Amino acid sequence: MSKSDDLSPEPVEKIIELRLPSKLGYERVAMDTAASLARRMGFHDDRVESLKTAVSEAVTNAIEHGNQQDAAMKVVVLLTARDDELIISVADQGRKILDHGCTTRSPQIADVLEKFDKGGWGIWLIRELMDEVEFTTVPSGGNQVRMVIHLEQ
Amino acid sequence: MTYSTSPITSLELTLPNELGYELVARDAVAAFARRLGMSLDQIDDLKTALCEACINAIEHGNSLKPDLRVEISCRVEDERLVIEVCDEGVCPFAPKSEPLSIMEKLAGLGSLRGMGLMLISQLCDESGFVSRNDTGNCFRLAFQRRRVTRLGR
Repeated sequence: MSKSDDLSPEPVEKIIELRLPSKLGYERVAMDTAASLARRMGFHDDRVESLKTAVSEAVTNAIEHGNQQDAAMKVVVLLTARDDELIISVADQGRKILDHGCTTRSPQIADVLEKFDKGGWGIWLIRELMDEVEFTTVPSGGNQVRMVIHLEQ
Repeated sequence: MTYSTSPITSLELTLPNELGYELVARDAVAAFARRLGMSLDQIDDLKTALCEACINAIEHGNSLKPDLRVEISCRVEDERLVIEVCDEGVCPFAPKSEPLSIMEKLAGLGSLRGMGLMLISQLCDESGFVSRNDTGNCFRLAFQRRRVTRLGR
């Protein structure tokens, strides 16, 4: 096909799939893989750091909550590189289904300070750091978070 | 492509068949090896060997066809990290009966390329093609996780 025939070209996508054990610590494999791809795509260092933090939070949630740290369960990370954005999907096998209230509420710092457990900031951080964020439950029953980071030229 | 039955501590990764993505695989597997407590020297060897194996899969096994994939699996077997790099076998591996030595290549008797397998064999504790039930080449690299330093390497 000549270039003039190519009126609405499909966006070029390159996909990397990563399957990790549900053990805390292995989120670093996802962080380093995503960072390596993002640097190759031309993201600035500060955006790469934001991406690493968001991926770390998403994979840690999948390991700790979605898969309940059952090491036989897998976390699947899909990295889709497009010309102008990187899409990161993190899916667990859904031993525990995420309460959708916790994907929309913002934690209040005054409340958190009174609690012994100071956690619970992961989803808020992901929303702050990524350009688009969507939480879903996939038909097979697992939790999935889809994050998009735009490439600014 | 299907994955073989995964032991608990394993990593699976699939890549686009495009030169450059071996660097993303390198960073993913290096992060996995760090989690396993391997030394920095070993991880340096692993990174070089893995890149060579991926380039062989992309360039030769998959003949640079952009719609194909390269599949990498890493698993812990006893005290070894075993990595398999598999392609879709457009071009099955055919060993040369007597490959040229480095000295012969430097003397101009052949291309300066084509030293990947020899390099890999020097960096790994074990390497070679393994047979698969389905089509495609599968190259295995194994590293002792606690390698005794070998003088004169």
